[in-house]
Amino acid sequence: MISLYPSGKSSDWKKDRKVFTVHSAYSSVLNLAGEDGRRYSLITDGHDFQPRSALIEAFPDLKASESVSVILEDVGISYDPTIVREKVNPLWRGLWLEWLDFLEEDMLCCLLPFVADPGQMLGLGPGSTPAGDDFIAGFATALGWSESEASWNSGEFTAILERVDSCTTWFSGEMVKDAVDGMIWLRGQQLCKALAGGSSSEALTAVGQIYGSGHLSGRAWLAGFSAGLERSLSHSVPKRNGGQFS
Amino acid sequence: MSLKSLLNNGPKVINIGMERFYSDLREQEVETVMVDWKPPLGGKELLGKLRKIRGDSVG
Amino acid sequence: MKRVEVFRGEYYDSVTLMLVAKELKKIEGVADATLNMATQANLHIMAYASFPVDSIAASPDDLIIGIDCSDDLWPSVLEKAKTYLVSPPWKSREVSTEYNPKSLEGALSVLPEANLALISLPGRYAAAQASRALERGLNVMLYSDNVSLEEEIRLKTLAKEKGLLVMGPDCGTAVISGKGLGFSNVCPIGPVGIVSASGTGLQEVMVQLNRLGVGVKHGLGTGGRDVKSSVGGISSLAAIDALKDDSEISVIVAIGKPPSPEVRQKITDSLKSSGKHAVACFMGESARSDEPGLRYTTGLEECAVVTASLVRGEDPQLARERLWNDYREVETRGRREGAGISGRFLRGLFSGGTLCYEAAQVAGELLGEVYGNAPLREELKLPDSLDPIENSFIDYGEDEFTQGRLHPMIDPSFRASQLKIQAEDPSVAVVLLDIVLGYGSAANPSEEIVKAINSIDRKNGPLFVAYVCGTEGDPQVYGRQIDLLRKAGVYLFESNRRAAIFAAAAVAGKEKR
Repeated sequence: MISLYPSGKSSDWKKDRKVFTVHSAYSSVLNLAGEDGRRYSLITDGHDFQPRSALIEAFPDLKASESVSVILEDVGISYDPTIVREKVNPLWRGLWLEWLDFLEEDMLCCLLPFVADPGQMLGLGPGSTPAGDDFIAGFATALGWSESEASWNSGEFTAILERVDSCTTWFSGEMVKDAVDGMIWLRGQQLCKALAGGSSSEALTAVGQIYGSGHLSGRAWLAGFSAGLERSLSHSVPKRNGGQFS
Repeated sequence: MSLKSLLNNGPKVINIGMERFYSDLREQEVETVMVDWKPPLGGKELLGKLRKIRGDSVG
Repeated sequence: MKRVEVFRGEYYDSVTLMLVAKELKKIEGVADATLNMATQANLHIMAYASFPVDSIAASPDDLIIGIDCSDDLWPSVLEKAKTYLVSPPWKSREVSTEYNPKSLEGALSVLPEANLALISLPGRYAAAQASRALERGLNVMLYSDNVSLEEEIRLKTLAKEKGLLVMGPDCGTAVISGKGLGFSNVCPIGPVGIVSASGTGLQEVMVQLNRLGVGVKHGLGTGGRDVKSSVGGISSLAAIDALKDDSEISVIVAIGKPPSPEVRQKITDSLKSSGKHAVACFMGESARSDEPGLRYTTGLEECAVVTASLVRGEDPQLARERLWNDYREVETRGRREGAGISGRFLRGLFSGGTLCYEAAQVAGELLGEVYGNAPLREELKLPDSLDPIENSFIDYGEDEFTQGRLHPMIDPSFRASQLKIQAEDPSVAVVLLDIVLGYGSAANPSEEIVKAINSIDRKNGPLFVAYVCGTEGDPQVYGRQIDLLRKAGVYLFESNRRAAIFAAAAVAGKEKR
């Protein structure tokens, strides 16, 4: 069995030395299934940090279902995926409202009828992660990040977590769970930072990083994030408490 | 902004349409933003739904 | 074999379509490829090029792809076209490129201090965006044409209420604090402010002023219809007022076709009361005596010459007389050169509307009737602009050629193909051209023209005469353009008018027995 030695990891990857099963292998990311049933990922580009991920220089050709061992002893933390609440700069509203328009596109308009009740989008839409899941992930992230008086419909997200395993793929479900749990990918984190600040070039670069990712994922995620921001700004939100919304 | 302030402060341009104009402005170090505008594809009905969610007529 | 395919409701901008066509033409076995939005202009031109568009039912929102290749190649080339449209091969494949906003509101959040919207969308969408921009306190430069007169009046009335300026519709050129918007040449800043109803008219005056060492601070466009009585000169008057208020400007210049009488009165009154020197160039008018505070000129170069003399504190009349002298010399030389050429007629093939207009005017004075697609008189309008007769001037920037297509200043290929056809006609004695440089224009406009000239299959070819409207600072490298044309045997002149005088005189010289 091959052993892999990453050089940096996210703070939520607790297993120092464990065996994983390969789920899918791409040129810059290797997705693994842990014994705990969670998704773990090895990345070769630091921009791709996400929950439970580690940076490695390269990985060998691996096939789905192969076993690999990942050694993380003494590997430093390069990334913290925990969402930190911030106030969004309302001056960006004109920008984020555009992202709802992505749902007008041919491939994404199937999501349109469910924008007011995103839970219905689980498993819906095209893409290797169904676009509806990307939308929900963006939506949950926005609600978890944007510090405002909005009310939080925790029941909505509990219902999503209950249905995730039966409504969508394991891999996509992991993405949704992470977002609902208040965990965020690096590109999303950079976007949040930019939208809390005032730099145009930072904002446009951060949006560009997400917009261009995947075929539809990036746009669906942005649309969801936008809807989440809108929701957060028109209701009051109670505090988060260790991953649970009260 | 007024015509007077445009002439006094120099142009700061939102370019909607041909990218060529935008890159020419950048070359002259004019502050400018490029808008990738596309006509609404879904027609008026979808647009209406989106606008309702937004709660205003931004778009 | 030429075939077409229609894709409903697929929108692409003209530059993308042109570049995809270019890529397809690189494929072996593809004789021709053209991608267009299905506007009347494009369908007409495709039909002229023998693409089977007659039975096609398509609207300007549909994409039509025409390819000339063998039947067995057709499916793969069509697939390539679709791939290139989605993933342009000339664009870098990075994921991390900057996001461009998709709306005016998004753009304003990125650049809240914006003071101008430059709009070059298809006409039917442009007016709504212009309106939104005005509502948000932005001045507007409306490059788009195909905006109705009613919409123009509505936009300009709104602008007036808000103290804003609408430049356009159909405004291709403006300069603000020395920065060029749209098509513009690199010129120094100086004590001149210009208000112009014409894009290439503004460019020519600025280029001529540059030759005389005089700079321009602002050149504001108004669109061609502003001085009609229905519009009332709203933009012209607002622009003149703003230039009056600028202490760094000592000469105000107004360029355009003659305004309707009541608008003319308002404009000339405003110019005369400005407290500064004023120069008017109402093209097509006969010469008029100067009035206190306002000098009248009949041509673009004369306008620049008079303006420069005022800036320098010299006598404009002396400057004019030197100019007339130069013109007489050019005419004499033209008649001399024309004596030996074969053919009888002059064909003008222009990319700049006002340059075409001025040149046609000159030709009319020397040759009598001059036909065209935008002629000086209605009865001289050609029934088919792709089929000129006798002495004809074609403006390839006219609507019929630019609806859903790139302007000839951006894409010289169509005009170049027409040049070849015209020049191979044995009845054509002289071909006259403008080559406009500067921002917005093609990277190497002379290249296609020279290629066409060198490919001409005719024993005693016509005389080629051209004017390059450009400055040393322009991105196309003025000297290189001149060189290319000179090597191809083209006669070159320092102004649009001089080139036209020479070309028309050459044909007039022929008629003299």
